[in-house]
Amino acid sequence: MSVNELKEKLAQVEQEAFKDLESLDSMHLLENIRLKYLGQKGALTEVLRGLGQLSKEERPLFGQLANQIKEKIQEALEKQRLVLEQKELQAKLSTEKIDITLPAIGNKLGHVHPLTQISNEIISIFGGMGFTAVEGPEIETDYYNFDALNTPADHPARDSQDTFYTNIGPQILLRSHTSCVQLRALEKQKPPIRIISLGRVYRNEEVTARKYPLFHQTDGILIDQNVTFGQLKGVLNEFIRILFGRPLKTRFRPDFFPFTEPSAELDSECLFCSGSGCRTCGHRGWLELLGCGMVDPNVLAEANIDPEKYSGFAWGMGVERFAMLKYGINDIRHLYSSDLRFLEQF
Amino acid sequence: MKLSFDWLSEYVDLSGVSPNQVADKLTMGAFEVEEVTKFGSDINGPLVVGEIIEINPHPNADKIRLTKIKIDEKSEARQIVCGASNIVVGQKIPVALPGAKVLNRHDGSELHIKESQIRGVTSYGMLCSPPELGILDAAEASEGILILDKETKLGTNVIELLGLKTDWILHVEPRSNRGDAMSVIGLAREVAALIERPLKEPLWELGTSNSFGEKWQVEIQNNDDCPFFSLRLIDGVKIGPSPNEIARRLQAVGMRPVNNIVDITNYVLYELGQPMHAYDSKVLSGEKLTVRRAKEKEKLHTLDDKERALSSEVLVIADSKEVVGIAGVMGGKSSEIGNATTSLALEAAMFNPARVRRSGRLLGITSESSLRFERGVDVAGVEQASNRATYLIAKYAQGKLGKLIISGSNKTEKKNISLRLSEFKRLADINIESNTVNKLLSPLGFSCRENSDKTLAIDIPSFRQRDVSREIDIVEEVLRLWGYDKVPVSMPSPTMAAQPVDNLINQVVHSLSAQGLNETWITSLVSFDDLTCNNLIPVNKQSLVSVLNPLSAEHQVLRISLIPGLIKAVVYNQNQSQSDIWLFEIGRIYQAKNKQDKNLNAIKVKDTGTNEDLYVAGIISGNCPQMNGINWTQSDSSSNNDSDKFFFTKGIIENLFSNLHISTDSLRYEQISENTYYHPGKSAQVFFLDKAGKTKSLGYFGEIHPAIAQVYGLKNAAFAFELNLEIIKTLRPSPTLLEIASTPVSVRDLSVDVTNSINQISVKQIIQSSSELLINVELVSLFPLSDNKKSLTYRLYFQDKKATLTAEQVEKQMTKIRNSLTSELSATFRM
Repeated sequence: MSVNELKEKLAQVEQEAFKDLESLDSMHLLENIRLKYLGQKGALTEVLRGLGQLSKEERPLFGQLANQIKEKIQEALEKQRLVLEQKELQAKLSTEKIDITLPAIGNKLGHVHPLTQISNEIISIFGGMGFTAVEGPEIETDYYNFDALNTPADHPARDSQDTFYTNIGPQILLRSHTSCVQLRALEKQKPPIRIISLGRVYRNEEVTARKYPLFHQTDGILIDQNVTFGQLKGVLNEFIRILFGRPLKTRFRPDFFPFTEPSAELDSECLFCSGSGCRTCGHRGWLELLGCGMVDPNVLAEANIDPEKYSGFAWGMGVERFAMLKYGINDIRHLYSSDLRFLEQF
Repeated sequence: MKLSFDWLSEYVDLSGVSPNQVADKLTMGAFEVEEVTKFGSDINGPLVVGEIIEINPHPNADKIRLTKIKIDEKSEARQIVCGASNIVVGQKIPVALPGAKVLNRHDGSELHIKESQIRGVTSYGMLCSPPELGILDAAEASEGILILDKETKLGTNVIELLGLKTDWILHVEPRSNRGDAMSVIGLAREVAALIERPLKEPLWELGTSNSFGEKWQVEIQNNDDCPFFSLRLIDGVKIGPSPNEIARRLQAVGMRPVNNIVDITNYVLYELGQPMHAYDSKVLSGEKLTVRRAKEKEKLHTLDDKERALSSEVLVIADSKEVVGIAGVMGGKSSEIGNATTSLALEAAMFNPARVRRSGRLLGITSESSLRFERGVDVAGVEQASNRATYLIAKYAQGKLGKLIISGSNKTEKKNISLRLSEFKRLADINIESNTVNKLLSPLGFSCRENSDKTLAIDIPSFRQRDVSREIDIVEEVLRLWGYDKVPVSMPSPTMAAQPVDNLINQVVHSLSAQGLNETWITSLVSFDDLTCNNLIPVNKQSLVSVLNPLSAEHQVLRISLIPGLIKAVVYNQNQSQSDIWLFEIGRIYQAKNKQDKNLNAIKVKDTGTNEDLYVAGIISGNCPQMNGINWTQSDSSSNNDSDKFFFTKGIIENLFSNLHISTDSLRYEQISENTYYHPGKSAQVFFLDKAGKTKSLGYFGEIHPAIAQVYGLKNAAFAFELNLEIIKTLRPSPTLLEIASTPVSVRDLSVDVTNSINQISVKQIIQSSSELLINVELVSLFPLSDNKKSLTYRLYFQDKKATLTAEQVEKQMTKIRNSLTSELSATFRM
């Protein structure tokens, strides 16, 4: 066969291959086409067999030409393969569809109690201000619960904390506040001191929507040189701002606590009515949040800290009260009900 | 304490100041006003004094009569129909004229007076009874018209005459350190200082006293109990209802008027803060009163009609025969002032606050009197208060004054405190000058003068010597009057970092909540029944911590386990139609130390003699997830998946330990029987095996004992666990990474047939100890076989961390393992 005849054949193979590819619409026929043209018994290979009849000079030129056509076909095959793959994927995707609104599968997650959540929040806010959490016993001695906190026996201040006494001994009681934890810590530490305690306390009270014979308190104390009442205001204002997520108007109202002097009650503008008066705040516009004050020099002296050199401030508050305010819980009994309908909301 | 705005205005000029403004000032000045309420009804005039000129029968009715009433000298008498029977001609009575607004005497609703026809006769007004004027005086129980004093001038405005105008009551929270402020004058002093107006005290003068009663004596046995005691004899008193202004004020502050004498003592108690007691002196034996401790077995029938057994802790007043009153708390019934009383002995004294408090607590009595004595009464004011009451008794009960007999001393030491102005800078970062201190403190009765060393010498008035005794007390007093809100806000210097805190509790919370358990908080103060699960749990009473003064049996003893609370929580939720109840709690349990540990001889000031340990407990009730392909349900007769729940609970525990980095390989389980909360065949004690081979008990888990389940009404078997966090706290290593080998892992399954009595763990341990190349062994299935045997299939994972294992090497290991199992457990194998 002459060169021209071979060239013509090549052109014919090319033309046919492209024609076949164009009409191809299924992936599994792609391999058939490859074999038909490029395989060992394929059309192109067939043409190349005629190479031997050509002259030495003609061979490389023709070979070159044949290779170019082979590559062209290969390229076209690859291109068509991609097109078909896309087409098949699209076809598959368009048929595969599920009802995404069917229920989720898997273990239900448990919920963390709101008192745990608020406790962690309180400890972390004060932690950020350098206060370390400490713990103490719930069964306490009269000494730590009252005497060392400037509340001697037969002092009417003991009335405000109806105390449970125990069978262990006349001076062993269930702590009525967490301030005793501070005192135990003060005995072991030297100033500067920044501690916070959080724990369970007990008061001999009837169960009502607002009162429970046990609840939780958190107390903090800071003792150092040059500690002022203004710093107390600053620390507690910050705490309120972070806990409730916005700055609230506060006021420090003079009050009396045996272990602080001067003492104050911290009120904030009512969270629910912003001070205009509502049922929650008893139409006063203010919510009582916590008690605080400068540590009484007697308490410092009791812990062997020189009140002339050091001063300090302290505060105490009810954990339940903050949980109730923050989460809108209107009855303290919910917190101790173990009711799943309650727990699962947190 | 209830403070009457009207009464207060007698002591401070309150013109232009509203009750709410006073309330706000007091609140921000350390006396919280909880609320301001209205007292009295809106009674409007015209309401005047009239005189009955004529009384005639009604032409058309028997029970009502026609009266002619004159209300002034000029105009004609007017006709008014009246149904009351207590009227006679010549009486002065209150007359409501048309346009007036009074009250319906039956229900207190408003009653508008107008000209009206009553059975065909015109009535031009109404004669008023006390309830119609809003006077709720128990002494005036009769239904009749209020009869006024004969001397009252015609036409006088009755609202002013009887003080019927609306009053406002400020509910002031009492301060435990301010006995002096439990009185009108004490709060008036505060208000005067806060609104910067002068305190004015009402003027009165005590008449001269007669010399009767000179033989009377008073004796104080111990001056610590009673520093000062006074007794005034008053003769010829006429007992009757109190004058309206006194009765009304007492009512306004919530006290029931009784008779003029009792009311006057209460009035002065409220006004000056000095409690007082009046005895019918004719009933007292021997002309002597003694202040002493009660003797054992002495008794007193108190005013509240109760028989009180006394003890030597109780301070009493006694005549020569018996106890007649509990000092500062309550008087005795026998010497009470009654209608027949003609002579009195009026006691005014100062008793030791702690003693009064103890007496009152022992007897369970709290009275207006004890509340004040407990907080401290000013000894220097006792005589003045006695005189004030005597003056009022002379005025309103025609009493003739006898001698004032006293014992003890009412002198107070002059106390002064030196104040460094620099303290304001040190404690509040503010500068306060001496003239400011003076200006703030002097209205409260303090006086200040400058010392040569730039300090201030401050004299403390007698009525404040109890709560102001140190420099810091003065600092507080000045700061509160100056205004806490004016103290500049700052922040402490940021020089301290918080110490790291053990996060165990949060790790446990996160692990268990992630496993689907809901956290709960349960009361730690429980009933005896719950503590013992209704006597199913034996307890050592010696080790219990119980409260001596519980309010209810529900909250009586500190728990010794978290399990009963969780069982009750399941029952509660079950009753709310919940089915899957998975709960956990982290909390303390409590017990008294052994008697041997307690040094009972020494009174422990700082040691409580008790232990409090932190535990975590959980409970699973309802369904637990089915694990595909893994089911250890052995020959369980019941068709439910109770055994699954046991292993599910075990899984929760192991996951928890895993989260705490405690390897489950170090855990051991033992079947137990002595823990009575659990089913003996389906429960286990968990141990930790340390590297030295020692075990520590970590807790228990298993099915709640069916007897307990039945007592509480658990509908389904519940599985619980309880672990000691105090021990777990000490076990947690921080995780260290083991090298991750890149060589391939070869996996083989091995089916082992053994007799039923052999525990799975024994088989597993033999497998593990037979090859060093094993990195993991898992039980994948369990089948019961005949002949009391079972088949256990394990999946074994082999790896040499340095080289790729060949099939021959693995087979060699398998042979070793089979040989060990055969020799130690007589195990057989199948392919």
